[in-house]
Amino acid sequence: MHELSIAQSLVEELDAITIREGALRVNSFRLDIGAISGVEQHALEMALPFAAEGSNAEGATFDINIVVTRVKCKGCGNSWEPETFIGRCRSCDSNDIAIVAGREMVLVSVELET
Amino acid sequence: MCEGGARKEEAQTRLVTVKSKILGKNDEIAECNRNWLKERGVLAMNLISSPGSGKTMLLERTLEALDGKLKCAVIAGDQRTDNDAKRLEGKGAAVVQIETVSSCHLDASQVHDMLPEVVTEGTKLLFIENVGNLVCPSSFDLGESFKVALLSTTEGEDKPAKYPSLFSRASVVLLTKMDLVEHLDWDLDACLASLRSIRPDASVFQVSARTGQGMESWLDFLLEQSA
Repeated sequence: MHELSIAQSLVEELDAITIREGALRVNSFRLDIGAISGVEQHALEMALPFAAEGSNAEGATFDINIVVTRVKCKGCGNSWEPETFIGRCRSCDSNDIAIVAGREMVLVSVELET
Repeated sequence: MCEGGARKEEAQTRLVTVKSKILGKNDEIAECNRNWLKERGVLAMNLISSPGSGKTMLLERTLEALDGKLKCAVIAGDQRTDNDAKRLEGKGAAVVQIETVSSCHLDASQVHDMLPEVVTEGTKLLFIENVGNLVCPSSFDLGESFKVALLSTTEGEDKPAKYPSLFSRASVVLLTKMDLVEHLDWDLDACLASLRSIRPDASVFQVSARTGQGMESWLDFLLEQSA
């Protein structure tokens, strides 16, 4: 249940943005969460309202966009979206594979009430 | 009602593009830890596994073997008790325990607060024994040099494929409790195939801390890495 820690970090950031932008409160925000980030979407959806209580983000709505995993072979540059397994390069059999997407935990945008 | 309506009419909204990492603050502190350790020539490993996979036993035997050869330090994380720290004391290494209470992982700031106390002059290796959990600790960078995943034979072969967030990040994997294999329907090839499907370039060590099997390769690896 590390989603609560993640939600708390997010609320701190939302509070800081509200103050920095001279806004009243957060109306809504968007998140990018990678498929292999280790974050469970439903647990995060449960945790966020609790973490936001008493903050500038209390009652804010949010959208979570799940980013699919994408890998790239460092040998031949081949890129693909593995479903579960990453494995070796399907084109040149190299085992030097970089994960280029799927680990995101990003606050993309915030709609503020000013 | 009227008051709320009036406020609604006056209220304006503005969309701000942020694109900041949610754990950005943790990552910043982790980077600070990493630099601090690098300046002192310390190799730091973040040990992650299920509870009961043998992290503490592996560390007991590792510290005993390295005592007098390489100065080690340990930060042990658990929700409660300092049992692990007690087991690891008196083996030549500085040991501190972090009780995370309700939290399921260590974070960079907890490690940051402990570093000056546990990493003293001449320390070469720092073992950070994370809270036993295959999922949550993998999201939190602590400033380690690399992550070490432990997978005990009693857990079955397919954990790497089931828990890719950890196994895709761990460049070193220890298959532990290898002495139990003869009592189990556990298939080494299937386990390695599962691991390779997630992290094809992981360095794998097959060990039994109880019998000492495979410990030499692991210790050689540590000596080589810290050189």
